[in-house]
Amino acid sequence: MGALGLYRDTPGPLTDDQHAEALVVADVATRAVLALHANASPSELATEIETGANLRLVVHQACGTVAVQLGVGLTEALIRLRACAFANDRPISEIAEDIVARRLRLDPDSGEIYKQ
Amino acid sequence: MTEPLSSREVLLTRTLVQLADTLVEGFDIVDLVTFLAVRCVEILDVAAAGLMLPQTNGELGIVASSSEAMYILEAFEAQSNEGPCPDCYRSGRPIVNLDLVAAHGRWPRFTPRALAAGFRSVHALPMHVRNDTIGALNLFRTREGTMDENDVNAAQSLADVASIAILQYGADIDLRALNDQLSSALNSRIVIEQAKGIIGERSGIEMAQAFSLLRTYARNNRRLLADVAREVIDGTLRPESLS
Repeated sequence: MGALGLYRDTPGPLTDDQHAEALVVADVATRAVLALHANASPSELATEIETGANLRLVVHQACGTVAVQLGVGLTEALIRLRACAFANDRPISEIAEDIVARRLRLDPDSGEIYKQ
Repeated sequence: MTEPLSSREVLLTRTLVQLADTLVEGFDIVDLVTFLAVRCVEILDVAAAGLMLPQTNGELGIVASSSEAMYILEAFEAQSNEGPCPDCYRSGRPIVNLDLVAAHGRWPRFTPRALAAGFRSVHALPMHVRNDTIGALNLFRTREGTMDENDVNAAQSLADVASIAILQYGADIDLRALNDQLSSALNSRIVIEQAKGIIGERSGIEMAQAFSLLRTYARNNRRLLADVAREVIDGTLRPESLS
């Protein structure tokens, strides 16, 4: 759903410990953003809903499906669909088609599960 | 002695009477225009019918379809800003008997998709309210040949009734601006789609069946489709209670 950018003034790769800590920070930031969206006031979500109004019908169906699969509300379901699309570099409508056709499901523990 | 009406003419007459009755009583816009789309397919010898309305960004959105099959919904949705519906909507003029095979280049994104879906010809009738065009009735045929003049006139009548229905719906629930009426119909469609997804996942059924369950429940309980959908979404109504 996004990227955490880290900068410093000395060259070289991160150590294993630094890498692990960075992943924790990224995880915390992700949860914070999701929580913000979930608790956002109606006007803050207005942009989300406004953009949502121009999505294809299959995306709205997939929101319903994913909301049940993950046990979350519709707004978070849309965010997770967007995150899945972003992570796979595919349009959200294609991910939605896969979800509705039952080729793909989102699991709260295992993430993306593709039907073999 | 006058000639008897054909069975299709009887069905058209019956449809118009049913629509008139519904408009007087108070009604559900999505249910009504879905009924209209289904009747179009029965009366007009077309393979699919859909009603398109403008969204807030100016692109057309589908508010009702004769079928919930994905490939049919996609053929309508492919016309958000290119195709016979947008052309008809912008010009206010009907597009009739357009052969998709001969139409190459006119709608480079829409035409291949419609052909891939098995459609051969397309028609778009404008929905008029006085001097404005508020949407379009979209029809697809799979066979070659043209739609005759009687059918085109019947299609325009059905499109006109759809326009009246949208206006009447707005008056019923006190939406002043036409834009509000159009948005409301499209937003109703969105919550219905969300509820379909929820029901489909909970009950392990396909989207078309989920829509059927919603619609039947709404009719049996004399409730608006969108209201029933909202209750499914907020958990007040459990999918198991629908059948």
